[in-house]
Amino acid sequence: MPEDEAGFAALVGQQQRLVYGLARRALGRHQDAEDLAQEVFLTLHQNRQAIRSEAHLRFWLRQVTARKCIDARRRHRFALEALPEIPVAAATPDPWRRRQLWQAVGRLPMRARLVVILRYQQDLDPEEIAAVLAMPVATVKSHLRRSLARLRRAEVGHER
Amino acid sequence: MSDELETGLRAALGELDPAPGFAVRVAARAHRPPAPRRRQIPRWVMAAATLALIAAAALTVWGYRRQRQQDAARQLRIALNFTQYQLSHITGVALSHAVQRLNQETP
Repeated sequence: MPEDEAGFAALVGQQQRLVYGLARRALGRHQDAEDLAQEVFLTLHQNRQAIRSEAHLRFWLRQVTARKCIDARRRHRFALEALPEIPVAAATPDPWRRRQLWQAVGRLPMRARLVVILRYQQDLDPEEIAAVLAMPVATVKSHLRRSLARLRRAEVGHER
Repeated sequence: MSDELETGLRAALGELDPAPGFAVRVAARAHRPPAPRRRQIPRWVMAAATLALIAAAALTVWGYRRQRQQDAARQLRIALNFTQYQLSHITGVALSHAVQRLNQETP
């Protein structure tokens, strides 16, 4: 772990997409996500001696970000369905569908939402998600199954 | 159907970048010396101050009520004195009338 400011800035630059991307998709608002990402990196700076490898760093960042998202949800009760600023890239083939899917993910409970984000944004296996969120693998699979069913129903509902 | 949904989710949940300069801001904040901690006021001082405030408020209310009671007593005394004076005056007038009438009736 780099000790100097420039080295730490470079490390933050390398990992910011992982942390901010996860927080932004879980919390919705840009400012909330950026504040949370800052908190995560400041916590990392305080605990930098505990990081053993690049893989451990990424696992640690995901775990702390997820925990802080759950805490933030408890404190503020974010309602993603009410959020106006949902990022959708104009170049995507079907921005409307992406928006609908994103809103449907935002209506999931926070733990289920994190499971879906870790699976489809970060490409983690259920075993890896279980380790990050400190929950049994069966619970992760159950969250995924129920969330996908719910998202499918939401999609069908919008198509009608 | 499921594959299509999963592909859609991968597209909808893509990673995003924070505002430009995020890494530099975070690194600067992490290396900033910690602000000196403000001295905490001991709990017993807070408790004593609260008790003193409550006592002062109770004393003020008690003094105000006592003052009002004293004012009411003074007003009652004045009213009784005035009534006594009026009754004495009326009694005097009535007696003098009675004496005059007696004198006129007596041959």
